[in-house]
Amino acid sequence: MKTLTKEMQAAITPSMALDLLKEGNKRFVNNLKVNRNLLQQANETSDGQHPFAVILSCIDSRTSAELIFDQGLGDVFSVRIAGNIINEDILGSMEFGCKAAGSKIIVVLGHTKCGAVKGACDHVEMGNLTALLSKIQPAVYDENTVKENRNSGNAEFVEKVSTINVKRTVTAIMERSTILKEMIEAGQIGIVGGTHDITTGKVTFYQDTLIINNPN
Amino acid sequence: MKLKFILLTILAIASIQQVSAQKQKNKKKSNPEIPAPVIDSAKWRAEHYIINRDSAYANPRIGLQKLMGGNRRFIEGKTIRPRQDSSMIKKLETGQTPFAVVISCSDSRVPNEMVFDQGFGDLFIIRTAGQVSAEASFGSVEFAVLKLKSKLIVVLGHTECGAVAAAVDRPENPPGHIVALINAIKPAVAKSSHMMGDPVNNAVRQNVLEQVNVLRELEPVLSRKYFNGEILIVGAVYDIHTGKVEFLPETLLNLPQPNTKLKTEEKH
Repeated sequence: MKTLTKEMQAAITPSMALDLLKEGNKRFVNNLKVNRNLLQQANETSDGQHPFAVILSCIDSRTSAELIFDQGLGDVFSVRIAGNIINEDILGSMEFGCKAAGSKIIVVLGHTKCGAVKGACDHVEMGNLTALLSKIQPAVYDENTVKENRNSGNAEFVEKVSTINVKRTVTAIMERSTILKEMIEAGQIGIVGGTHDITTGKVTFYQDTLIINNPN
Repeated sequence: MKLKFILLTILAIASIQQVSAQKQKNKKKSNPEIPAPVIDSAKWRAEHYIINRDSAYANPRIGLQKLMGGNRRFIEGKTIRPRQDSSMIKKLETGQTPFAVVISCSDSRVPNEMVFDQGFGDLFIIRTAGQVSAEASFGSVEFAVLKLKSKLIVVLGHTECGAVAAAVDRPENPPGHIVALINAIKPAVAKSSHMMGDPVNNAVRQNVLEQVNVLRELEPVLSRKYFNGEILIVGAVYDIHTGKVEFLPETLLNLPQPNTKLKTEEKH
């Protein structure tokens, strides 16, 4: 596994970027992680970063994007916020990761047993958490198949809300960021949503959220 | 009486040593081909700056030592990559007890787990470009402090940060939402503009100091806990050339002391 250079980054297409992530997650799950010289990678990237993916994931200490996708230093532009929601600063970060840093794919990555999603399911209101959870709230209302026990005690409900939340975030990125929408439409970058199972480490991508356009 | 006590302690120590020696013997017997793991030795632990995870979780000052030790391993090229296997996350299925909350930049060259040589369950990480924080980030920190009982909060900037550089350059037409980042970092640029040296790296440092102060004053949770000495909020800058994390001395001075200390002082 070589450290990404500008040329290597330019040669990666959005679908190749997604494959790199899929392969990396397979390595992680099977405990076949690549042995990297991190210090050397730090040295090789000191003149600039050329990541191939922007991953919007959760702050949970069990969901490190670099670790679960077995990536090294300089590979992933990692944006992390509770419940992988969208904000001005988060959108700005993702735009920076794609437009300025040249990433090829955006992944919105939720995870099972997410504390923030559980908080939204229970309608928790506390300090600055209120503002944060209000961004997940629409996903709670969108979920209309579970009729009883619509709270964090119901694992099925929590996971359904989590899935909707990821899909809503994917849509929101397209709706709220003209830059990213144009880059996706032009095929310069791709976008996909997915979920990380924190008990197995396995990442599942939601095929219905995947947009990779042909650059022609 | 004293002599008896000393004798007893000597006896106790001797018996403990005997037991551990026997344990090691047993270990060797059960695995004749595999040499005893060196990672158990005190020497190895000292050489790799190993600090107990539970102590780091219980005491933010020890947590800080643990982060510093992990970064030393990283820059000395002797990372141990602890708790990074997929088997580890199965163990954490029921919950997490991260000993530190790190608010850092999204830059791909600053993967927090790697530069601090920590693993799953250790660090609660919030990352945006230029570690710019709004309500969602604040809410995320409060979640870690209230729900997960993390006691150490580190704001981690890095040299040559692209978002900070954009705030220094102030382009006329910044694309999209990048202007939100520029506006958030701009006060730090203004405060550091008179300084000698590299304007971007000066602003990076100032930006971290500003962000530390915002968190220390943040209502309703963090300010109270910080001034009660229940949590630590410190700032640091990662050097993308050397890999070294410098904890900013300004943020390590005059820290509020925990209440427990006050109580013991009262007793005297």
